[in-house]
Amino acid sequence: MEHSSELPEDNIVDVLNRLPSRPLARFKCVSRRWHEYISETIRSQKWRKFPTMMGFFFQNDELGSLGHIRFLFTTKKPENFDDSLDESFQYMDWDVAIVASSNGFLLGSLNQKHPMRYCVYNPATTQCVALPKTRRLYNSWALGFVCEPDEDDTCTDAISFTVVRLGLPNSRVLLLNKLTIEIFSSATRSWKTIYINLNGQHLPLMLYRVDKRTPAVVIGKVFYWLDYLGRIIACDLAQRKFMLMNFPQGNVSDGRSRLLVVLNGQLCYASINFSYLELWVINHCFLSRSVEWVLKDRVSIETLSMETFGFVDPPKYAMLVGFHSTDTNVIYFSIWGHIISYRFDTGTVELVFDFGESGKKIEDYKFYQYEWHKWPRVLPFLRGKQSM
Amino acid sequence: MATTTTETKMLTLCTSDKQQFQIEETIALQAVTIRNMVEDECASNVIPLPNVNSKIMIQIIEYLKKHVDSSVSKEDMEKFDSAFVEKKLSEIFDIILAANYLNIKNLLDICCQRVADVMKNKSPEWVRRTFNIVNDFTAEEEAKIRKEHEWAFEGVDED
Repeated sequence: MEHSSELPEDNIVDVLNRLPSRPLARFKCVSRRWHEYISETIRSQKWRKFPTMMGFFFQNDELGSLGHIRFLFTTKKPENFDDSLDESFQYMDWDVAIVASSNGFLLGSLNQKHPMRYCVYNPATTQCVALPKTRRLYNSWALGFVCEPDEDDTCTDAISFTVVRLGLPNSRVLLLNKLTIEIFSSATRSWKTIYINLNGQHLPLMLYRVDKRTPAVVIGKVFYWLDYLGRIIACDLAQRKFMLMNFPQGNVSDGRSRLLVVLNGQLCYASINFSYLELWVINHCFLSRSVEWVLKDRVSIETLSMETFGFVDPPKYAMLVGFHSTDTNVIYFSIWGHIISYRFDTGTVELVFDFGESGKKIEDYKFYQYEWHKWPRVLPFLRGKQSM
Repeated sequence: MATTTTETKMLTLCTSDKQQFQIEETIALQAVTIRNMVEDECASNVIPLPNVNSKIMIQIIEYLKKHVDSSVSKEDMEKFDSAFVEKKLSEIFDIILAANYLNIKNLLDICCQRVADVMKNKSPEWVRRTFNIVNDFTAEEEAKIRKEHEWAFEGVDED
């Protein structure tokens, strides 16, 4: 190509500011000047460090056969979003079940029935790493996944992550005196096993009925899981402490959909049935084993859905989809195949998505919230695609 | 609008290769640099533009003529703009330089966007050649940066 002229730096800067993150990352190696401008000005100063909640990945697991992975946008696509998000996991080499998500990364399980293989996937960069095999095989388990970007790191953009697996060796074993927890850390790149003594506390008999695809919510080193009876299993991995928290209204196997969430650093419990959406704040203490449930909000579903959307019949079933991860006043739920957002602070309801006919099966879907980093984060090791 | 009886005021622009272009003042005044010159009365009838050659000037006048026409719908204007930037990159570079000098912001915008769109799937080598940039990294340094951003190299066009 002939070049009659060179562009002044001002214009080059103007051009660079119009590029999405993928070419920018690629052009860091053009020259020192470009590297400096892209790393320091665009990545660190201009582009917000905290991610944008974009929506939910979801997958059908009716009758144990995995459906396609799809994506549901709950916000408008942000500026400089270049559609490079792999919304259907088409660049993923394996059939996976999504089992958890955290901070822009997803945890996938490679064998539904007896998984010992997990992988971490970044749908923005299509980077995927397979973790080494777990040490144990379980019939039932509960998972936790925490991904933490290092915001001070301006050079490698690497994240660190932890995968936690709490398992029962055999569902017929009822008398447990300790919990076995496997932990994988990206820093050590290996699984280690820790034990938490139950010290005579009540056994979580229903532990084997923890939903395998509903991951823990995490505050610091404490992981919280919900069992099928709506009880909360809390494990402090640092202090090796355990406690079981019962929902104050007794046994709640009444068709409610529930989820745990951390709002402003506090553990919260949301539940929905055909009549009410509730939000509780839970204060608890491992030492005294005391639990305090505070009802923060309660709204009638019927008023919400029928007045706002004009549904003729009152819903027979309502399901919680998830919380907005950066605007904690917003919860998403589904009624009649519609995904609806509700703001606790203003009481505003909005229709987010209509599944139409396929929405009848919405209770078979699992939703995983996804946060998009304007400047993508990368996996700290095993770069690129790995073979198994 | 009814035809105005007022005489259309004309300006003469003189390019670097001494070509003269007679255009209506309203068209020319979209260029902030020309407007300032006219307002400061530092220019007589002929406005010298020593940084723009006639080849580029013809294209810029084409752009300005379209954009002064208020009857063109937003949609048609966008169509015109996207057709206008369908040029060789070296030509776009020249237009950017001229638009910079003449201070025509929206022209600068569409040209920079065009460069960004063309660049999006290109390799760093292509960028160096196109922008005439010397690679001042050592081979090891470059390899390290590439390794750290391996994800960004998928789907890059062949040079």
